[in-house]
Amino acid sequence: MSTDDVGGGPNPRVPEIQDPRPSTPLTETFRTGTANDPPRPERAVDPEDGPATLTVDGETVVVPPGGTLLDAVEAAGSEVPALCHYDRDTEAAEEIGPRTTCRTCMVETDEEGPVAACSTPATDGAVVDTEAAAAAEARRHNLELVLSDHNLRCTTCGKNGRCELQDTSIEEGISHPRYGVFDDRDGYEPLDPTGAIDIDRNKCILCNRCVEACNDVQVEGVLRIEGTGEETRIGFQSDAETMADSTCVSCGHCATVCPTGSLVEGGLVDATTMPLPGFTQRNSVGSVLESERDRERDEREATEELSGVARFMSKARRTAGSATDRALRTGEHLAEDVAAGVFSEGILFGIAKRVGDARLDRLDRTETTCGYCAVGCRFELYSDDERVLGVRATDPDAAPANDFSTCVKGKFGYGFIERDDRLKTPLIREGDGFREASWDEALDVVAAELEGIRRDHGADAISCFASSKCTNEEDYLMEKFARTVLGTKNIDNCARLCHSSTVAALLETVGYGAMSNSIEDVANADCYLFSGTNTTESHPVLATKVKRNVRDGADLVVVDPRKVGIAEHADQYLRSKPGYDTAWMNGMARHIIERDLHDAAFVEEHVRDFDALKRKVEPFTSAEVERLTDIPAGELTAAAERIATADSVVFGWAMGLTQHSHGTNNVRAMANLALLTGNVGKPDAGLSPFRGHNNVQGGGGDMGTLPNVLPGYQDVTDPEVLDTFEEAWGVRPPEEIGLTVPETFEAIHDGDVRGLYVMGENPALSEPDIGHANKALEETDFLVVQDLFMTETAEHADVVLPAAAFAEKSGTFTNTERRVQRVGKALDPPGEARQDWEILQSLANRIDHDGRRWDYETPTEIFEELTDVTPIYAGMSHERIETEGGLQWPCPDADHPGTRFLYEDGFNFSDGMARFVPADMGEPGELPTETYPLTLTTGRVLYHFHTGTLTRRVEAITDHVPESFVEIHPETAGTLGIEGGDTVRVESERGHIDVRAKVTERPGKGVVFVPMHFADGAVNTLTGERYDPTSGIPEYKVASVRIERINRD
Amino acid sequence: MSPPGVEPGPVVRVTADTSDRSAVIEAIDDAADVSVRRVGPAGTPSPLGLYTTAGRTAIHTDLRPDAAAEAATTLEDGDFPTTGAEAAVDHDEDTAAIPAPDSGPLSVGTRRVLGPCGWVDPTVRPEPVAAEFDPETVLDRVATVGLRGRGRADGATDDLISAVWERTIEAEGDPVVVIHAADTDCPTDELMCRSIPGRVLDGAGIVADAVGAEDVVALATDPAVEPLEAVADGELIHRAPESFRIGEPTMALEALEGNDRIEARRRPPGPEEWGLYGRPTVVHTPRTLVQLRTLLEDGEGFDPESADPGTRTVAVRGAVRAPAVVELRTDSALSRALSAVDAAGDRYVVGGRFGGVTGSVDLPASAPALSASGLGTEGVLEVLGPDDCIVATVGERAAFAREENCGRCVPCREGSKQLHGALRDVYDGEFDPETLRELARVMRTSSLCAFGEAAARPIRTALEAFEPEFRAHAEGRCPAGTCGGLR
Repeated sequence: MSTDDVGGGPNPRVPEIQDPRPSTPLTETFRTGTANDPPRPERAVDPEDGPATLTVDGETVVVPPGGTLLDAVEAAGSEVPALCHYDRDTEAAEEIGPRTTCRTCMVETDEEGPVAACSTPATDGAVVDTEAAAAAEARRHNLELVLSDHNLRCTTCGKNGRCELQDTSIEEGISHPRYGVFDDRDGYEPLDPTGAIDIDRNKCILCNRCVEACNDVQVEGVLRIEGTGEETRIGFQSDAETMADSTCVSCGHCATVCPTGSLVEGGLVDATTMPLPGFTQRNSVGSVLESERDRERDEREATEELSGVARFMSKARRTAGSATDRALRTGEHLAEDVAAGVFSEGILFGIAKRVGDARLDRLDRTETTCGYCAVGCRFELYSDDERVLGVRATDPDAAPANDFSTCVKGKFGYGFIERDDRLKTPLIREGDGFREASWDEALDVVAAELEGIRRDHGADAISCFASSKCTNEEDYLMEKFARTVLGTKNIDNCARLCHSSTVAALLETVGYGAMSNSIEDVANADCYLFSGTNTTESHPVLATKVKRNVRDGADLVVVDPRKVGIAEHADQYLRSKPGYDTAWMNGMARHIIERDLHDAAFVEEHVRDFDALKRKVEPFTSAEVERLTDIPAGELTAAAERIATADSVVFGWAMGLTQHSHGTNNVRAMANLALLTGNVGKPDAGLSPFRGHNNVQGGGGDMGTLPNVLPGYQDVTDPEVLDTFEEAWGVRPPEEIGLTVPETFEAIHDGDVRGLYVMGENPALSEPDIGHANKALEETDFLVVQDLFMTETAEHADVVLPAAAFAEKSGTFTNTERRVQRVGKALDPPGEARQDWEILQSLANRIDHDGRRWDYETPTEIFEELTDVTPIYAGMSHERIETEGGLQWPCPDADHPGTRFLYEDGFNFSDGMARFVPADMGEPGELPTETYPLTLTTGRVLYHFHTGTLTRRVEAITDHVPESFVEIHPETAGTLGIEGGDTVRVESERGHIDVRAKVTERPGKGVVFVPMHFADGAVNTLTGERYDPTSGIPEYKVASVRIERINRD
Repeated sequence: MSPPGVEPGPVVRVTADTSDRSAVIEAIDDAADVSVRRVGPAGTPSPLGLYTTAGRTAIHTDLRPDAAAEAATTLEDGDFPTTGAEAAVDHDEDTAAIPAPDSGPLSVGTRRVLGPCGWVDPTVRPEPVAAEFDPETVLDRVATVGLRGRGRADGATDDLISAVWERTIEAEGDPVVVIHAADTDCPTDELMCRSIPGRVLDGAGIVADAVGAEDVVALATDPAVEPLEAVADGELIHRAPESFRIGEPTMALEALEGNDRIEARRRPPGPEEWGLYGRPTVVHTPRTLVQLRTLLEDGEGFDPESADPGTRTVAVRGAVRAPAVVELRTDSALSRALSAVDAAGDRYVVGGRFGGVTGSVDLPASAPALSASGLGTEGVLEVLGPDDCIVATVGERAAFAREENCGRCVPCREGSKQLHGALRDVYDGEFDPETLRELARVMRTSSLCAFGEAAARPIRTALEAFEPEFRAHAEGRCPAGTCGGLR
């Protein structure tokens, strides 16, 4: 980080005067280097302002309040360039600019003379002339000044063909910029290819969009502008010199908004360059930076003694140092120099752009929905025939959840797709290993084996696990396959392990097991109570909206045993004790009732059983809560009052509340608080269980992949429901409630379940006490696994079927806000791998059953069928979803616009009333003992997903977090004689893992944290098989462990 | 007790620009029993010793300790020290300004705001002049007269300050008044802070009352900080980093907010609506504030019909024996200022570092007149000596702009680079006046702030007045005969 060394010491900062601007605590450390500009015109609108009527080049136009002259110019159909302006008409895009740095948008007004159109408010009656001589001269001259400092190497630029500077120069007819272009090789800054995004500062026009995207959209504080005059450049807020060494979280916003080839997604760097050897960006610039991480990797590789070629290749990938590279580079330089000598820049533009356009034409662009988490980000995948090269923002209307935002996984997490270890053919077990087989053979084996088990032990001796990663269409078929083809009642999925307690509690209290509100409501709440949600890491794009809203003045209360990233932004952070959450929530409810701060009218009108709640929370005085949870009484009551007095509150939670042996009670207590304060059934408020998997809401619930409900949460024990399905399917589904995932493993141990069909799940790592789970997988008579990779689960299988990744399939996902969105197919699956629905269909037609033959030709047909039997999806179709930017259920008929938030017209019970279901305080199933004195809690990190099957195979991601670790509070570490970096053994009654220690104040004293994503150092070796009695969710969040140091580097 | 301003018995005043003032005062104290006052600089080319008794003052510039001691002894003895005096002046006993002699630098122009400089005790805060006025009256009088802001550091440079106040009053938020005394380009603000800091702060108080501000913050150069602090009564005084750039008001606000990189802010709206920490902020220079105070103290001399009512201060520097600060009525000729100094040249840069180059200063000292001639209104008149090459002079200023610009906008950042490069090219025989003129025009019309708007003024004006000089350089000849090329 460089500061402005204007001599004479630091700037004063006027400490006596309070900075009245709303800020998050992070603002203190934000050093963006940019001025404290006035609010953007559209943010400075006086409510009394009306639209402005003005004249542009003789045309009369009307601009809404807050509009700029640039808006007026566009409305009038006139054109001026505006290079630094980010032209995307959305709220998030308004966070970027107007920087008004390039001054290529000058126009003249009768009152003010030449002004920059991008940042001058449109005032009533103004007369604007875009053709006025002074303004036109300034526009063109400034564009030429921009080009003078731009390294015009279009033929080796990754943005060739979609570069805003190139487009503008062509539109303005710049054939020979008077100051030339920046082509002094000695003056080149080295390329920084160390991170997921390549930085080429030689192409930077200092529009500052990236800095604002980083600080104002993502609210991350990585980039800044530094230096002044000619030394002005984009740098890092930390002391880092390279992207890899910075605090970058690789969200990708900066590359998304960059107008030139200065910030380019690694995969797209050479996608549009001249298709000749040597025409690469790296060769063009020449010198390349190396990060600390690269150097460490070099050292590691040196000591690991990679074989010569592998090591050479590994290094050559990062530097352009080889003899071949040098030769190619010389070739490129020569060619560029010859071209520069012969052609004017304008002709070069044209040639380069034709190359770029042609190469872009050969790239596929596929609009799709992200396959990682449940926020439901949409974007375009850029791919060639083999791989996903990059991700770029799509049309705002098609991306309601994220606009142009992404996180590291959605933007860069595609390396797994092209991995060599993808499954490409069906595999059949042979002794300790597998042999390749044809589809016919493999499917025949599966059909025969499953039919055999059904014949010998009954259909209920087979269990099926659906997948929250697959499409709605596929999970619907999976559930139909289980119930009608196999005839088993046993269908469940991994949602059992994440939000089953949420679903159970919300069904009891408000009626739907889903988020009651929308991401839009979460983005605009007046106040938040978050607990057990590591939002910034697990739902990064959603978290950016919360961070922005908090920055702009909303209140945030975070209660969590671990001081997670979102807590850094909180107005109040309360550190709780793992396993005692009901206590503090009941305590808040008690204080709110005692102070008469509850919404009495709402409760009276809309909620039953208030007295029962009152009685239940009575013992939870703030003093008692402090005794139980260590949360100071004053903090608790202050937080309670904050929530009770806010206009609208969003109650957000995730696994931190649900994965307990009393998880359902935790969620009941949360729902009670929301009802008590009247924050359900209105905008900008509500109950927000943040769902995990991309399609856990749809494929893990809505589609009936649960043992107790059919699609649309229809009761399997209700004969009328079964009649409907019998009519639709031609087969009556089993009317008994089936086995949950954990019950299935018990049943395998007991010999009651003998066949297991697993589609896209990895229970060998995700189950609690995986030692026990793996034993069950061993004991299974016949195990089928359908997946992308030879997962830890597949290793136990009898038949492994190669499936397609989300970029290789089409269909729909339902995100956390109940929004059903299209998934587009960008690539063909590798080898003989097939989409999951195709596999299920082939199998269904091989197994004897009473239903009709399956002959779906496309996922669209499957969707049509499922909407017929799923009332909450009844009004949807692929076409509507595509044209209306997704649809949120309930959407009962074709004219229904979908539902932004639930319960506006009453709760989902026959009387329309919600219920207070008083929550008993549970204790953790395992308490610290003398032998195991520490409390282990588990969770995620930003860079990985679930069991890491995908993310552990992506270089851009493993670069950030390559291996497991344990977080230990400094005091605890001190007592145990542990330092950061030590390898330690974490041991519970069930087993042990060896991981590196990270000493940090994120967990509290006596609490340790291990992430869940790694096979090596698998945390579920340690967790126990204790379950919530209502929902069957395992208690991942609490286990008693001890830690000892085993060695120090 | 005597009434303020009336000195009991003989008094000696020694101005702050005296070299080794302590030694001088010690010599006087040792020699004679007279009252000695440490006063601020008067803006004269030489430091002053002022020997006063019974309504009569002898003005000395010989401030060697023994000479001073001798004059003081004469005064103590009841005589008047005319020997060696530049002038002797009779005056009211209670005058608050240096009595004006008939000749010498102090006789030049109209020392109305500068009068007290070098005379009054800087550590004594004068009575507020507008205590009994209500804010409307003040606003009304300022608006009626049409007083304009002074200096590029002012938030209303050459504009009506009443209009800026009105926008502040209408804007949302708690208003603040910022005294911008940190422009290193013009010495007059620092002079006022050192000589009449109480009047500067009183002027700010008038503004604060007029716009309803409770906070007054000063950003001051290092030498100005202590004198301001000595008389501050609730005003917050902050030391500015030494930087030409922060002479621009929004960059001064950035400095006050503690930003670690100083760049100009986007406008509109300007500081009067979005200023310190986003609060509506009136930014005035000491020059404006003292002018304002003078208006309210005694409105005579402020002609509402004038395009630029009041007086303008002019700091004369460059090829002069010693620099000075002069005060002129806005209708008197700028060239009047030259009589206060020994000027060794007949070409000038008017308006500070980024002022306009000209061969004639026979034009009114008012801001509108200077602007109309393409010159700067910064209140600085720089004399170029016979050895000063025009091309080198403007080249150095282009180099300075290239180095010192904040880096935010393209016309200034890239424009100053090209400007500097083009001047270097002149030495290589390439001279393209049309491109230079166009570039200079574009920088003026489209830069984000006054820095960039002004940065090309030296070249623009030099091309107008001295184009042959450029041609000569392109042909390898420097008419001044001093040019060694451009760094």
